[in-house]
Amino acid sequence: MFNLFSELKKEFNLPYVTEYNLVNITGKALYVEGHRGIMTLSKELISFRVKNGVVVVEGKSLCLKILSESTLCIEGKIKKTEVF
Amino acid sequence: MKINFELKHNIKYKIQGYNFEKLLNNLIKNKIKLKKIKKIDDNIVEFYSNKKNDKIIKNNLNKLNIKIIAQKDFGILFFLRSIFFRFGLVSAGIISIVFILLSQMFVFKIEVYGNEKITKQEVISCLNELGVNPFTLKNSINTFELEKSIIEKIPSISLVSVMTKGTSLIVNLQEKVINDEYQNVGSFEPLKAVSAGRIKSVKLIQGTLNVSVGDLVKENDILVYPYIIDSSGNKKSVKAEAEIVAEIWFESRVTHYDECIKTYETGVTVEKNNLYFLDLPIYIDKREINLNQYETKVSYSYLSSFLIPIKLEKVVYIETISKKENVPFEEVKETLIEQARKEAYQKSENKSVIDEYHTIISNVGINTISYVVVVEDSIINLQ
Repeated sequence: MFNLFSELKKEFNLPYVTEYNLVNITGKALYVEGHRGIMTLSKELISFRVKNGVVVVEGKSLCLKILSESTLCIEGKIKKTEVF
Repeated sequence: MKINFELKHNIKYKIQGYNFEKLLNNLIKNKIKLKKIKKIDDNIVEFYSNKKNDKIIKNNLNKLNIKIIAQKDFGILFFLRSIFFRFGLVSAGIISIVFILLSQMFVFKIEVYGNEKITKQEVISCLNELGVNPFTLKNSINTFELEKSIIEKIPSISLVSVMTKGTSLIVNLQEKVINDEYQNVGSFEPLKAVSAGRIKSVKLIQGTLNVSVGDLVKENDILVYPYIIDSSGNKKSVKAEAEIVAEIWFESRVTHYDECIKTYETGVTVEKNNLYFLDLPIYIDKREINLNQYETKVSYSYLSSFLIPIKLEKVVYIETISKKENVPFEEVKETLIEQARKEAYQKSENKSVIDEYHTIISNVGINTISYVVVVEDSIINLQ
């Protein structure tokens, strides 16, 4: 899978961080790198663990487009993304 | 990326149960990449994964007691593979049909029915000579011509039909029936008397008679000749057949000598043992026999197996003495007559006896009793 953040770090010589990264693409997709496991999965809410916290994504018709060991991609109508 | 995913053989799982989050976390810990994870209902989730992960996914599903309610294969590789298998089946079917059609064009087996005296091999070799054998094209066989040729080649066949059925060539034949009278024309044997006797009755069936009632015949005398003379005076060979009954005499003789020397065993015996290996003597008992008059009895037995044949020869010398005896004929006459009678009856094999008599011939101390039993029986050997 194409790793957006690795490419960006390479391109701009950014320091290597062990924390998570996420990017919301026009509220239709949320790309996450460095997750630590799924906590909740439903059409309206998907939550997952990250280092030192939990990310909760709310929306409609949500689905996990891709789920691998460290990355995931949520697809659907994303209304709110909160980090606790 | 998308093309790569679609190329691979993927499986869509629809699962039912609870605690899907744990399942998903377990699977990604096993480095399994999941796609399009969608919750359909509270307890139903569907997702895609590569075929190579199928076993691990199913193990994890079992561990968490989650059921698979639907499973579907996707991907170009899967499509190609299924097409390949389907094509394989179709092509195998086509090849089979072609093979069956091709095989139907040839004769593989020759079956012969109705033969009794003619062997099947005889018919098959005849067909081979006519160019018909296994793997001959059915179209090249002209059954009508074949029938004619078989009858010409094998004269003992009176009727034959040849037909092809499936991959077999069936030959149905009927052999010529020859009457006994014509089977050995010119080689018939005359009827001969099996014993001496006087002809009592004659019933001729076929042939020319050589005897008449009242004639005396000896053993092997010709009774009926194997021919007839037709109205034009020509000899015609036929099987000689007749029923001829004759008085047959069975005679038994017993001879008595007024003075004779008889030998008796004294009971004294001497035994000698000799050993032989492969008929070569290895031990011979060389003791002398101090008996004036003796008889010997020899018996053999093997001491070991046939691989090492050691033979034991046992010779028993029995001492005898001879005494001159004088028995007047009149004293034993009745006994001897009875003995001769028994022997004569034995010879007649208990056939119906119609008469019996005896004669005694005496000549210088030698008396011969001749006992004759007369029976009435067929004089022809019916075998």
